[in-house]
Amino acid sequence: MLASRHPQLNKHGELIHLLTLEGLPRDVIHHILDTASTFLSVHEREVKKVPLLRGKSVFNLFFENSTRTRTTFEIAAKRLSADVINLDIARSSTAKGETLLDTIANLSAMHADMFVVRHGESGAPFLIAQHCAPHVHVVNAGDGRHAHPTQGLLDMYTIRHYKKDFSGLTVAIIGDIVHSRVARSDIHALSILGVPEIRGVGPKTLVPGDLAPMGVHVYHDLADGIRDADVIIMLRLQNERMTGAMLPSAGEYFKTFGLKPEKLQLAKPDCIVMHPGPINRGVEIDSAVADGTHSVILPQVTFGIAVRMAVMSIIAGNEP
Amino acid sequence: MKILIRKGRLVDPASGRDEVGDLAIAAGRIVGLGRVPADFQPNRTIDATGFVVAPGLVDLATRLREPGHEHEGMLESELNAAAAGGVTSLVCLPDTDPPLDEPGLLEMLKFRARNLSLARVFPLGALTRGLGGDALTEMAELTEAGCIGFSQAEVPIADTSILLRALQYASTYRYGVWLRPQDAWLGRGVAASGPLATRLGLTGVPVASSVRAWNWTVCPTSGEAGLSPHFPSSRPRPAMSRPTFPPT
Repeated sequence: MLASRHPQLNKHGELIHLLTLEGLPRDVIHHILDTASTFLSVHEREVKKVPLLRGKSVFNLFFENSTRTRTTFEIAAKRLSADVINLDIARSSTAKGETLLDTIANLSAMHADMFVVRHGESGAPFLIAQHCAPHVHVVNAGDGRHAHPTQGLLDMYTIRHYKKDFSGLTVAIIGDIVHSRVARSDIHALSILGVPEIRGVGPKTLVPGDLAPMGVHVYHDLADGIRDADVIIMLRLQNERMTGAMLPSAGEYFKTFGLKPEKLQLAKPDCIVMHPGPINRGVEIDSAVADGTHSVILPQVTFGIAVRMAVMSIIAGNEP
Repeated sequence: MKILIRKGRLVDPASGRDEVGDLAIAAGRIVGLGRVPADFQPNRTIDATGFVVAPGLVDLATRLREPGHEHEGMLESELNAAAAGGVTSLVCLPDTDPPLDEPGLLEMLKFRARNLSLARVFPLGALTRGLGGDALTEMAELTEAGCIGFSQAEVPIADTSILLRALQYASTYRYGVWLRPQDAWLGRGVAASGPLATRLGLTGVPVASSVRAWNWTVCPTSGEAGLSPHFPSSRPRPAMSRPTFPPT
């Protein structure tokens, strides 16, 4: 039953793909986070490798441009001793008119063991997971506006690292929620892990009013949304949103919804400030906050590699 | 300073009063309405026979011609005309040249109107840059500079997705929006559609022009967006009473 509802789980309820955090059992998430914490020390070794994926081929299929996420997946796979193949898929197969499923069939024939997929369309990694060979595992590295589950997991790792317990937290997600796959994955994970107060904060053009069914309280005023928060997750404001019908200018956004030190004082004194990066200084976040004592933006990046190692090693170890 | 205004037609919508009588003012305040206190000694007496004496009128949609159209009217001439007609406060539309889409333009207008000390001016800022219907203005900045709401004047936003965003953005901060409920294409005529327009050979504005536009103006921001009473077509009211809500 669980497996039919969640194509990412096998009949034993174990993770075989990571496509979305929505509906994942809480213990599966904690298992990933626990596994990630064992990988953190790998970074500090003289030889930064463990042999868990030795002999396995991980294909990075980025149908949408990304440097940072692709690199962190590559580092994670290499630290697990996998062979990593980066395909410039957007400019090769797709440009030549090959369908997505034909591309996947061809790459499967090259005996890939794992696909790390980023795609501009929501749901593309699901389609791939449904049609690839049974032994191949799929990791969603971001699909459209839908999900970015490894980012969601590394955010949960970060929160758990600094706050220990999710049960009493107020988490404010600030910015462009309507276009953000990170926000959706965070919201699902926070909800599963039992966070009692999840807030979505931003202007009405960026924060939909109908988030209540996802368990989110919507605030259209930064001060109200940030008050007494334990965790603040800032979202990146993409350049194309800054002028046009979504927002009038970067300057006005910074003035009304930018996170500045005086606004941060409304949050709890020990609050942490997170951001999936890359940050826009002076647009969504003031440098004094990004570089300040509450900021955990750089530790997030470090945790991200350990979390991706955990995801890849767990799904590769489970039978289809 | 005590002023006695005698024998005017006193009209007060708040109390429903409409009768001929006297009005006594002392130090800028009304001290007698209809009947004047027995000991009232005016410095000045005005005979208002044949005139209406009423609270200052507020014009909710005025066109001031400055900047850009000074040949049609100067700020002073327009405000003089307003005061002469009993209009003590006016809301002006942003379709000047350049349109009121920069804080500096609004500050200058407010400053000049204040110095003239005729009628009070409450400007509306442009809802989109240059009234072009493409990009939002910096509404928070414009509000700080003194505008009381936003408008497209008589330039409808053709792209309804941008209109929706503009209303959503404005309602984030509870800013009012004055919209002319007239569709950009259907509303291009010069007279209400009907036998008269047909007989005179005038391009008609069909009821659907207002209905379609009205449906948009009451979309998700209803209750927070304002409306100007411009209804170019002949039968908008029945549609107003039962608006349909488009999906958000």
